[in-house]
Amino acid sequence: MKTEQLRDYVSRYLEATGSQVLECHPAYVTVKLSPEADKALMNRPYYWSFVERTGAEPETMSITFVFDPEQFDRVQEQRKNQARQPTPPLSAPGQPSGSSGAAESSGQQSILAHYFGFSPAIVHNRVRQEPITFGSGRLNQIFASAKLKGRYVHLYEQPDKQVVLPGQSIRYLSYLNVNYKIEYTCDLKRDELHSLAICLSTGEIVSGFHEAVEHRPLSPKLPAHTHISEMISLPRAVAELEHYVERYVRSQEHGWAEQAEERMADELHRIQLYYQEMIQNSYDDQEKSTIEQEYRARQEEIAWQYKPRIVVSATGCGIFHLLSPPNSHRNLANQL
Amino acid sequence: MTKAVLPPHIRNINDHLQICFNRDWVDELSSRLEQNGPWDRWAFYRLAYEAEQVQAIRNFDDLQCLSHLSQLTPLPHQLETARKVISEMRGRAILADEVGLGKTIEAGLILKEYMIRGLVRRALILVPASLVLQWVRELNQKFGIPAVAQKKEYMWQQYDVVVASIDTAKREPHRDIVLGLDYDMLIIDEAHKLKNKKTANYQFVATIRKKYCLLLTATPVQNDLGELFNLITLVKPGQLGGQSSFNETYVVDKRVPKNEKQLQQELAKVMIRNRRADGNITFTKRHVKHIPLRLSPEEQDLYDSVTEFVRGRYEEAGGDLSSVLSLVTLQREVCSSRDAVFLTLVNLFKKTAEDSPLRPKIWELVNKIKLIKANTKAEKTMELIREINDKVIVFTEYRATQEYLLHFFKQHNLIAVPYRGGMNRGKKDWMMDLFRGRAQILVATEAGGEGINLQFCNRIINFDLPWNPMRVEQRIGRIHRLGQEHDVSIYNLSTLGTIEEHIVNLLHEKINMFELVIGELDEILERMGQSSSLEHDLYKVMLESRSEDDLRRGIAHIGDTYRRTRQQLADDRRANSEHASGPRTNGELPVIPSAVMNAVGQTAPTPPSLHPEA
Repeated sequence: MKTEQLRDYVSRYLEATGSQVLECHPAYVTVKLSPEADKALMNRPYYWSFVERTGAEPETMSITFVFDPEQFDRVQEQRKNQARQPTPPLSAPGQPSGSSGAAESSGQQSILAHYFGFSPAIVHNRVRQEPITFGSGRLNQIFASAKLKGRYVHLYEQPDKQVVLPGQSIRYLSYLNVNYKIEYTCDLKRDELHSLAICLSTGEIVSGFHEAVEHRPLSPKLPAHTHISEMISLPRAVAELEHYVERYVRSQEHGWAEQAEERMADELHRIQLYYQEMIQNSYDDQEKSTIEQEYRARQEEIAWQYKPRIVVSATGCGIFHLLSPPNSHRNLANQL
Repeated sequence: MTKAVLPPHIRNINDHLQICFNRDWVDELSSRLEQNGPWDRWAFYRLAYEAEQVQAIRNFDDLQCLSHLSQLTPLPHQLETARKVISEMRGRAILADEVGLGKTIEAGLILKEYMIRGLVRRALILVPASLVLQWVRELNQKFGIPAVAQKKEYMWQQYDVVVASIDTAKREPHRDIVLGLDYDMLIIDEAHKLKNKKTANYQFVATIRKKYCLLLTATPVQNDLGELFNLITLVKPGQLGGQSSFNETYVVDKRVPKNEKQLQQELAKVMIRNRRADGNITFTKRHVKHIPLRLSPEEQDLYDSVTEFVRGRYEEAGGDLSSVLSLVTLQREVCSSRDAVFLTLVNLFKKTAEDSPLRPKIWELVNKIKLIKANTKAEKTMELIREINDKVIVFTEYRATQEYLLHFFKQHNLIAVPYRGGMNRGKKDWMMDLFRGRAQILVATEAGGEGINLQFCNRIINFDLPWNPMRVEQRIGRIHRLGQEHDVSIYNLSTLGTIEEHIVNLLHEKINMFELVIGELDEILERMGQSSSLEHDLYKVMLESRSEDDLRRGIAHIGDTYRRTRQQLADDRRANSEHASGPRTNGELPVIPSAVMNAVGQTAPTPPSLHPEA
């Protein structure tokens, strides 16, 4: 993810949690977290259970997420310099810039002052700063929080006010959307994501559903005068979608699984050499059974590590009531 | 109800391959539909979808972990090792780099990669007790892996990535818990301790259920080929055949292998050994400068009186070493600063009975301290720092000296910050930042095991010296390590006519430790098998020697032991490299096993295409 993407993502997350942006800059954003975001990110369950039990007014944390540390430092430095210099118009015209040097050295001394406990020259800004990079713990936490909070939806596409004439009802097309994750796993792993949806009146399946509808005006509110027809039951729809996924997976090339099988056979053969010799050379039945037991444990480990398998799970799902069919890309279907 | 309508959730794609549908969501969705909610918000649904998109692993091969690591820039040989372990060695390997090349980093990269791919969730890292916290810190800070140190019984199950000492893990009640779990990955540091398959440790590790497995050791073979066989059996049983076929095929004598080419090939499938000598790993030079100083008359007087005092106590104690050990510290402290010795004397005074004849003697010493007006060493240090005119770390053994130096530097308008073991993590980091940014001097009392990153500085002043060479090496290791771009300068201050002179003499001339290659000291101490005892030996020599000559002889003896071990090591090395560099005409050299090791997995210069872009 690039810096702008990160910034965009985190900002939207903060907005969705209702956090209050205190300062917004291309390099960073400072927010006062909403209770929702504070609970999700700040790792202080005891505090929140205290607040809930006592009914105390919650004090949420403020935090600066830094996306571009270099630029952030420059901005901070500039700001510090501005703060240090006495406002220029007030100083007498005769003695212009002599004071800045003195300010500099007092700034430096404050390090020692800090340590020795003298009064600090710079008042410390209490807002916590955190760099946000791809892979950082905080971003992973935000990802995890978003995934937890965004799994099941039920949404209606909102009509333009002018379009709906009085007395007319709105006809909705209902879709079950499932965002599937297909994991191809052996001792290595690869993922595929497919956003599928099935129309609950016609049974038609579309792929690329999420991209097709993500910019439509969707809301959980059910508009007045609506007409919804769902012919297909949920289990039936699920079965249809699974069938679709299965057909897709079957059409794929599975050389990776064959190779994994070969690796597994290779590993099994290797330990066979080792254990057979040990079993043959064992002194008594008890020793033999111990070795056989260990051998079985090793065989199980190898199967666990190499056995190729495909796991299909849903990362999110929902019912979408649309005013027109999604402008689907049909990528998946075309490949069949 | 739903289950009745749906076909089985596991179906065969072909004879070998099954597809499994996870249907937890179906019930959840239908119950929410029935109750008309609660529903998640559209904004989060979109964010969740995007998170899945950026986190999905699109292909089997490329290393993903680089784009996830902002705190770390791995070196080419480390990346290449990680790639090789994952794609060629199938996640089971012995990482046998020489000391100082970053085995921990390699293991971290591999663990991180598997975690990102979702192939590893539960991991167990078994290390010597003294390294537990260091591993936890490195994994958290450098790799963003939420590892914890095992402290309580419940933690084995509660946390996914646990770092523990093998000695704890193998004991009940922990043993049963650990053996009852399935570990996606097992990492063992200092794995050469598992060379004997009869030990409880070995059998314990062999029984742990694991998918991927890494053993880390700089010395996979010390003297017996059988040990190597045992290590490999932990990772991949049968890689070298069964025990007897191994002996037939590869062993002439336990120290002498045969069919070496084949053995090397087989080893290279489970072991990677990067070597300093391989050329693409370079360390900068060390420049050592000794600065002998003469104490001022007042300081010398104090030193002599303290020495006399200490000897007197030793004799009174009837040669019982342990009761006066701490008194030698007094002598060392005089060489550091009057503040250090003052504190110790005052404490001693308080501990002594009121009617003891010692009290006046101690007080007399304290009075001598009062006569000292200047610190010869501190003056010299300041002079040095002014001359250097660059960032410097000043190491001292004593808190009181540290305080004194900070005060002294401040008076002379030098900007210095402290660093010591007792500080909490946040404060340490803050001091690091200040030192990196605005301060010129870091005055440190602690160097060991902190993983602090000070490569931006390349000068050290040893205001006084620890008596344990490992700790001296740790001090130097703070700045002289992979990633240091400049040559490193080390300044040792020593006061003539004191024990300090002898110590510097021992460390510098006898052990020659300032010019050792990185990692060499570890190997020497490993061979001597007694790293901590030097300090004790020194104390003994110190107290027991009747004369200056006695002292000199005693110290020379200690030095000789070191020198011999080092010589042996060098001989082995030479034998190895001659062997590794192909058949020599005079090649009747006894082939010691480590020669085979060294021919394994030498890193070729990595072609740029192998570095996945960050």
